[in-house]
Amino acid sequence: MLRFELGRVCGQDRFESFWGLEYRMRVIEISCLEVWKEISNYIDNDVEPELRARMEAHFKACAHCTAILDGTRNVVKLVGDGMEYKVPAGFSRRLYDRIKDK
Amino acid sequence: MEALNPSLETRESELVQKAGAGCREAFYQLVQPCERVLFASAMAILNNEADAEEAAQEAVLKAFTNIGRFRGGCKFSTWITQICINEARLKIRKARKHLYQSIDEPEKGDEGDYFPRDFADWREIPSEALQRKELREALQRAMASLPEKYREVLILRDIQHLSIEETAQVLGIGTGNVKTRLLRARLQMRDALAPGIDGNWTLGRPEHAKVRAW
Repeated sequence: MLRFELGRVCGQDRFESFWGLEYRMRVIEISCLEVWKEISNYIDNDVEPELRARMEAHFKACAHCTAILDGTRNVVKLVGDGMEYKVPAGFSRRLYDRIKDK
Repeated sequence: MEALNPSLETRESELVQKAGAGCREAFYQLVQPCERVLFASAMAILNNEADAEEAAQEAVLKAFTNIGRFRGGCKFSTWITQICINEARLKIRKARKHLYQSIDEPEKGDEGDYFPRDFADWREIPSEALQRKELREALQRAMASLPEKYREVLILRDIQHLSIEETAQVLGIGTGNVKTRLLRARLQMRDALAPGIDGNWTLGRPEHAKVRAW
């Protein structure tokens, strides 16, 4: 089996197949700083699969970043559920009246 | 640019045509589903209900006058939200002119990294806890503490659930910029809300009050 090891590895194995052969890919380590930069995209599912795998491996090993991930995810949910900016009472009627009078 | 469902698109362009011919009823039908996003985006900038309502209404009237310029290259809601954001920005600039010292933040770029301040393991605050007044107020305070450019992105993305592309269009910035601002907004909200700072919304469970690592 071919094994790719580029840079430091963090013990996470991932398998990928090319031309019918299975390669064991070792996930290359990523720094906390790089993880923070991408944490919001990660939550939005907007990172390339390769980066996602690296980040997942990092989260497994790094309690700090996992705490930040969990907290940030929770914030996204709380903000979505808790902040509504309801339009004030009578907003629609006043708007309709102004359009009518225009 | 988000593709519209074809039948909705036809319906929307029919209404736009009618509105262009001066039909107020058709125009109102176009505007009604956008009321919330208009109000919320004006609130993001103005942070005051009465001003936000005024800006939203001015935007709607401008949109009616200029409906002939809407070319249908994007959704009607995106177009009218753009107008509303411009209207709110004009309004806040006017208000700031009267102040002795401009409270405009210096125009810093979005480059440079934001570091999370708090590394504590944060147990999840369940959404049911939002019924508690303290948490709602803390959320509002945290939101108000964000710089305007981060608040607008957070509101459009995480409350109004616009896509990255729509948010970029509406704000007139690039998608990369939207992502950077969203990252900062979310991290800053997390720092502002991290329990342990005042630990008020712990649902009466003492262990939640001690989530900090130190």
